[in-house]
Amino acid sequence: MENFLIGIDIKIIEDERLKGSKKQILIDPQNIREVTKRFRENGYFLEDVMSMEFKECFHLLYRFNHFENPGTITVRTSIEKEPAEIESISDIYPGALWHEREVYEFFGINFKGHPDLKPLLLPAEDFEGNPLRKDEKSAKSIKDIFPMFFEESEQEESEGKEEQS
Amino acid sequence: MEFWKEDFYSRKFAEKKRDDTIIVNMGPQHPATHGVLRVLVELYGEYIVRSECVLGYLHRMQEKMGEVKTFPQFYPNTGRLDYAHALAWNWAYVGAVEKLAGIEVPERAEYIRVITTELNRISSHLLWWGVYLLDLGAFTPVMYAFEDREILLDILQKITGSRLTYTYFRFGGVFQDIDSKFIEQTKTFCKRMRSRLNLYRDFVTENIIFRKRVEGVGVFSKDLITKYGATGPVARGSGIKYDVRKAEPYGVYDKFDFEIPVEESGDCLARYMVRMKEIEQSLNIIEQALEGLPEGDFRNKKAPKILKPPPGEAYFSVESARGKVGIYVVSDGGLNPYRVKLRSPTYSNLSLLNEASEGMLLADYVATLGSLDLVIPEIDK
Repeated sequence: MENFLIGIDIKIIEDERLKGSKKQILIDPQNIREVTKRFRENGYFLEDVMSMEFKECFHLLYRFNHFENPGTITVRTSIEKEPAEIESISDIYPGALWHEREVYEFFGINFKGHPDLKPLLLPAEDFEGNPLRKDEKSAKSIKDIFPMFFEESEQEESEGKEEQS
Repeated sequence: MEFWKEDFYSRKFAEKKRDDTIIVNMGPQHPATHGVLRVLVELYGEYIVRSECVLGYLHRMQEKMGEVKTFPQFYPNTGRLDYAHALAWNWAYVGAVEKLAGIEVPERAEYIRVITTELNRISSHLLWWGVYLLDLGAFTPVMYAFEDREILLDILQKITGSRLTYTYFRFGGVFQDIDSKFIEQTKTFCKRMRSRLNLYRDFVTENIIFRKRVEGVGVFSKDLITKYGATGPVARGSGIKYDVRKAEPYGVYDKFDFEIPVEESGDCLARYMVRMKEIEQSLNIIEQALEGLPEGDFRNKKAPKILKPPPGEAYFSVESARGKVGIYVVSDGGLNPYRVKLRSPTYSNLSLLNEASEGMLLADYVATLGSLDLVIPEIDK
């Protein structure tokens, strides 16, 4: 399946602590539209878009699946907290229109290019705040929960250091 | 004073209004929307120019509740998401946590899960069948459907303890074992249901008035389904053979011999036919499961009482009566989940209607809305 993603900078993560997906792909946020386009061209459908908050970033998950070749493929990316924004994929998959509105109201993440970014489930007026944001006490570091995203790069770094020394 | 200028969504909706059209507000209290769904439609004569669903009237912030409650404490909430097929949501959550914590499930428990979930699927389809025909203006069928559904609810009540919002599964098994009386009653019901299905066919499916109302109405193309990620009978009515029970088997579904009904035409009748055939397939599964029901424990006795799964994530999806239910749980090693995400099938199924409704008759819109089999608590979460 990676064939159609050739040319894009992706990192495939295989780890037993991440359960339930056929493939886990970590990408940079600026590549999200390009990756999504490739999935659309290859007949995948979008299961959902979700986010979660960590101390240092927002972590976004896009789940794709295929009707004939089933199995969830999770595309993950981390974005900065300030400014919290990412390109919208709603023109490629209109199914994302509602998912992105949901993430927008729950986390306050701005989806650039979304045609109608307004609250979906929460009251549109007389309500402030993003209910799924964590406060300083409850927010964890992404390295505590998903250390596997960083393991390989750390190894490379240490190898590089050894070479230097 | 035009009433719609009072409210945020109507004001936004009215911004793009044409001069020769009128805006009609349906819901949130409307008999055809089955719960508190609100739809804004822009009408040119009787034709829909534009429509928009307004959600959130039943919003309970389930995902936040998942974060502040412990793993077992959040479990009863899953039975309240889709009140018509509660056991599917039960299974999705229990499955995700079992995967996360590495809890094994005895084979007998897996069989019991299949039997009860399939019984629940039939009761969900029966409810939809009766109420959908009520939408279309036929009053009597709902009486027939509820007569059969009542038997099912009685059977399920004996072992689960409730009639609608079940909390029957446990991490590592089920709440209690099924007895010989349950098996006997279920077998009798399966026999009865088959003859009733013939009655339903003669009574409704081949009725000319019903046919005129649903044939060729609300046609969804395959591309529309893919774009919006619709699943379940909505996707299968448009010729997409995708059912989580077969495509990504969970539990012991790979041991049973059953078919995935698919219709090619993509209209309301196709979705109707898929559901009617699914009842039959569910009966097949139940009979096979009762036949092969193994002896043994109904719950894993070694399953931990206090649950503290190791850091990581798990995603578990099951096929509910409405489509693909997915629950995603992240643990940070503590007593509470760090994040719970609920993927509800009707959420995606309904989102395609804004696009599909353009140019439709208002009466056909009601028929199409009903054919999606909406359960609002599941959409509003």
